[in-house]
Amino acid sequence: MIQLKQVSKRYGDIVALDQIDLTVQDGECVVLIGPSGCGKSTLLRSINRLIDTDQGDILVNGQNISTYKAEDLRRQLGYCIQGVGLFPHLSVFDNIAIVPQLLKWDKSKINDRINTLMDLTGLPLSYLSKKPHELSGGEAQRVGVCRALAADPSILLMDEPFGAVDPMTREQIQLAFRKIQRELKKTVLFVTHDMEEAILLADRIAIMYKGKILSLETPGGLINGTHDPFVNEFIGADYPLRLLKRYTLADLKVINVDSKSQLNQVSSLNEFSTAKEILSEILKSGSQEIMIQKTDRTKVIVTYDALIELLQKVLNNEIV
Amino acid sequence: MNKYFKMIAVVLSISVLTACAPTVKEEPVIVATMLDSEGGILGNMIILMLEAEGIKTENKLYFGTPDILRAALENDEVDLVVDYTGSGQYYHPEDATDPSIWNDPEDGYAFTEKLDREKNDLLWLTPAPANNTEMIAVTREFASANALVTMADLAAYINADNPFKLIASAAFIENTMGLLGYEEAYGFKLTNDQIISLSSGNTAEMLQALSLGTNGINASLVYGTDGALDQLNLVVLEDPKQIPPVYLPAPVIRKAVLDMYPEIRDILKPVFESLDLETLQTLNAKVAYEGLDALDVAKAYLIEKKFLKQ
Amino acid sequence: MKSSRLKINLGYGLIGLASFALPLGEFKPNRVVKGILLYPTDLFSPYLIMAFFIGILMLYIVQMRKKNPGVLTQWLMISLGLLPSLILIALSAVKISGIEFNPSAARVSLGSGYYVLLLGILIILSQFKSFKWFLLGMVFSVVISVTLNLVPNLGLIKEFNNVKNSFIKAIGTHLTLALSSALSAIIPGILLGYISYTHSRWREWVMGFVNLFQVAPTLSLLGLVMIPLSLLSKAYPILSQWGIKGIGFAPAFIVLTLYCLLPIVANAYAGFQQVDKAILSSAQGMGLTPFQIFYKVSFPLAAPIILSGIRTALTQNIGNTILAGLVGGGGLGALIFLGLSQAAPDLVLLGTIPVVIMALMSDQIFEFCEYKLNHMMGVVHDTTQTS
Repeated sequence: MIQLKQVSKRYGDIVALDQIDLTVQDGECVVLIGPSGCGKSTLLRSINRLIDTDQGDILVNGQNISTYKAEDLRRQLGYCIQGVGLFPHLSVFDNIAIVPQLLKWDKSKINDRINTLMDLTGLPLSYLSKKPHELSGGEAQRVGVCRALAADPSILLMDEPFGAVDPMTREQIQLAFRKIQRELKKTVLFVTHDMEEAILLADRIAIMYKGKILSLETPGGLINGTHDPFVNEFIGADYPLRLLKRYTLADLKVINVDSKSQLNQVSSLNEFSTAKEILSEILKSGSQEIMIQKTDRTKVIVTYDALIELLQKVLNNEIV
Repeated sequence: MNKYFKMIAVVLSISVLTACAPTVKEEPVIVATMLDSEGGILGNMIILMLEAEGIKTENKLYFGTPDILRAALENDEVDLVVDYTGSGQYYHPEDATDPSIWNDPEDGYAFTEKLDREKNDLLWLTPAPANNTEMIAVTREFASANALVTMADLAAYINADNPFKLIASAAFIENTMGLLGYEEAYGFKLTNDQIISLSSGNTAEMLQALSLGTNGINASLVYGTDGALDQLNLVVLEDPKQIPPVYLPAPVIRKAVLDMYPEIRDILKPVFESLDLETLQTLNAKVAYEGLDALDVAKAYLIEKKFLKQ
Repeated sequence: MKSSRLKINLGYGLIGLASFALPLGEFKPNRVVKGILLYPTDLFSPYLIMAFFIGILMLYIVQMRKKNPGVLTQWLMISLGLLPSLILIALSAVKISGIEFNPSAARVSLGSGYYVLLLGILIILSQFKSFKWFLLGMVFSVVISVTLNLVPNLGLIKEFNNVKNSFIKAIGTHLTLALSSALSAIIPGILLGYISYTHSRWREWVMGFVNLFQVAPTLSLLGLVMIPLSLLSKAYPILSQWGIKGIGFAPAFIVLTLYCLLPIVANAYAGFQQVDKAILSSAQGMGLTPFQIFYKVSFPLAAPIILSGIRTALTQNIGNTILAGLVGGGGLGALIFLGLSQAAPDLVLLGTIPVVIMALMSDQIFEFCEYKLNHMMGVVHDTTQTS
């Protein structure tokens, strides 16, 4: 759990953080988003004391961070930055193993841990002996995630970690990351400037502007337009549509059908497709419903109405 | 990461090991001389004689320029050097008030020996009877063409506005007992473009320039025992007024070392007494001009004169 | 093509000049006196010289037509490599009549023509791929000529015979001094470089301090160092026992170490500078202490550039160590200064050639080490040094 109480920071005349109050619950992923200079990175870096705050208290797992030695604190937190910062002279294995080695884990424990992580992020074990420059951007990013998770910290601090990757790869990594975070129940504070990334990953989104948190809601909760005008402008008028990317077939009410029929089948979709893709395909088909085949070869029918029902549920906070 | 530790460890140990120069357990006598051939010959003779009597030596011949050599001796860095009696005028300038002592071989030696013994704990041993003093040399042809035999003849030649260029060391040129003394005694004065001044006193280059006639040089500084005279067809202009100081080569040893090996005095005495002017000239010629090894020349001489067996 | 054609023409011109206008050697009846100049026509018949030119032309034509050096070209190159030694042998064996001389004192020195000829050949041949065969032939034949005593009358050889006993020792002292002083500058140099990197306020001070030694004249530096060392060793005799005195090894060692600082410090600073800030930030965020960041991240990443600085320092130090000869430190410098003071140019050459060879070898060895290090790092650094 991360708690920030009345945290403030100035640089000369500029207020970087203005009496911030924020609590990130265990296992929760809170995404900090906002325009450049809003203070999101500053906020993140004050938690692992890369930046020292002027006022306020920060508690990690109930303990004030000022009571720790800086290095000890940092070793307990997973930290991942944009561009990853992998050490070019070390192999993938050595890169990931750094913090566990600092914590003096024994070799077999480190080995097991790394194997698990590689598996988790979908990287082949043969990559362990490679050097960073032999990896693609996406692969390097995944190694960065492994590295952040290496010492099994309960808390992860991620500072725009997927920013330097191309959009297609980014989506894959985002999904992989969400899966890992939810499975391992890691507490994550995630900084980004990409709204869609926030929509996908966050349990709650904190929108920041000029050092203040203007809004702290679940992604679904942001649909209600009763907010700060800046927030409305920031999330954009098409927010509900963008929100659709967060939900998949599993969140929709579907009709199971006999596997032999082929009417209105859209073969490019399966159960992992987002609600947005499904809506697009229904529009393209020109009819009121389409059929989707799941990977287990069973087929379901999705209608317009099912989509509208989903949105209603989101608006009513029945679905997160 | 272990690789780096190993590299650093290797680097560290090498520098530590090599930075500690090896220590010499016994106390050998450190023998040092100047850079010329005479230093090499006399130095090697000393080493050979001492070693033959079972005294261990350390060879630091061709050590450096005269001032570096003297500084090393005064600071106990070396133990035994070959120096020249006339140098006393430089080592004890405050007491060298009477210039006439330098014209007499014994007076000069006595003065230097006394002051070095009292003030620096340095002892001058028996010198060689070879006046290695500073003289002016010209080529044989030049001398016969202009009928030059003495310094007086040269003075006349110069005063008649004939072409003349002298190459010498700065020390000689500025010395009242050197060029200035010659000028005063024989009545001539050289202008600046008649002089080429070199910072070191090494005559090898000067004499080479003289024999080649480089830059119009027709006279050069030469030392009494220089082997060049015969080899390069040069003659020395006679100096009846004996202007420059007498320089007799002699071993100079630190008192502490002589106390440890008092027999050194008697070992070297007969050797040095046997080295007269012509002998040294011949020996020097062998090394400087024939290019023989100073050690071989020294050894051959010592064996011939029966100072050394075998 | 154009520049290599220029090179060829230049090369031919130099060779032509050498053959006719400049002396290949000089016969001197003794060490110091002026000698008789020896020209190519004195040593070889004109037909032989013709044949040599034709040989070069043939080689040129053969090489130009083929892309890859065949066996024939290799052998042509090797045999051309024998030429410099053949000239040396001819020079050594020359018979002079008409003047009296002492055979043991007489010697033949190399003349300007020899060097010009060598330069011309090197210019022409260095552009070919099979050049290394020429070098092989040349080095091999020179070594054989010297060891089999085929060139006894060369001035260089005569001087060598004189100092034979102390020559190896001189090389050993020289190398020890050069290596040890360069090595002892490494750790202080790296630390100073790191300090200038982490504390930019101090950078000017450090750089100024290190530059001071490069600028100050060596002799003055030596003199300055000798005085306190001398006083120290007199006050604490134990220092003398360890070999630390005002003259000899100690002052030369100190001055040389100071000289080695600049390339190492400058390269260390540059090396640390070019480490990506993102990597350092990530290292800090992961919880590495400043010291851990230094030896796990900054130092390994800066290592290739630092190594390049060490390479510069050592190679230049081999030359600088000549100065040790001025303060009784021995080494090849002592030989060189002895030759200078006795006006014996062949002795100076004898002292200088090993210095050049050692410097070249050290440079090559380090180039190989740098290559290996870059491989290990897995990152390609630009290894051109910055000082």
